[in-house]
Amino acid sequence: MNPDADFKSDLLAAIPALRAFAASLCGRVEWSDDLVQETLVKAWANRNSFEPGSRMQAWLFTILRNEYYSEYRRRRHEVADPEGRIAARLTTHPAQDSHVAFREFQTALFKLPPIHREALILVGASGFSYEQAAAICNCAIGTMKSRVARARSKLGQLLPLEAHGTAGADEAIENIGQLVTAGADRGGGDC
Amino acid sequence: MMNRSDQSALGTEARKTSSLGPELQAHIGRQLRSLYDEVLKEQVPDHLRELLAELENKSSGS
Repeated sequence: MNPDADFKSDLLAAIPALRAFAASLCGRVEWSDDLVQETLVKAWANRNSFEPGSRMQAWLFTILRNEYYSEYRRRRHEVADPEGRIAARLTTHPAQDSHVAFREFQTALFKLPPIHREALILVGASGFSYEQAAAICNCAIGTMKSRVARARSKLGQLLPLEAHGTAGADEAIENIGQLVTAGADRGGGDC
Repeated sequence: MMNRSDQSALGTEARKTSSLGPELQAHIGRQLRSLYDEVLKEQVPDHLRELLAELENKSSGS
């Protein structure tokens, strides 16, 4: 295999995570597709600066978020996902109640400053440690921890009161919140 | 004040936010993951596959 072919297949493998990050970061379907496309082009152009063996996903996420913030300055006046198209295409929320809760969650999430939203996504959904998330965002680990904490507490204020009780409902609880907390302890201990 | 305590109490950050309540934390975690995972499990769109093929071809041609 030549290096370009290897690089290409690594990029291909990273696309689903890039798309998920972009969609939850910017909340607008077209924009997130553009972001992923730009990221791939930039990554390709800079493929010689990627150090094999380092974590490609983190490298790509860094590129994507840089793209996002340079675009964000131009697009900040646009409303995130005005028609709820991300929610509309989702299929995992057949029950009306949980669909409503999900829409409410999205509305709240996209009210957060992007710097807080990305912190929450990287640590709470992408599975990065605080250390890795801090490296992606080019900030100190302590800054990352405080961003995540603020994001969660702000979300808590933005969510309607009934959301505070839904986790205790009939359905089995995966308790991702605890995973996030465990991630916090791990991030603090390893570094 | 807030910043100073953030800096000095990193280890207790997670515990501090548990004032949100475990149910709400779990709710946030679940919703966040469903938003993320739903896109994560989608097929790679054709236009992105084609883009990669194009980038590779251009490079090998030059």
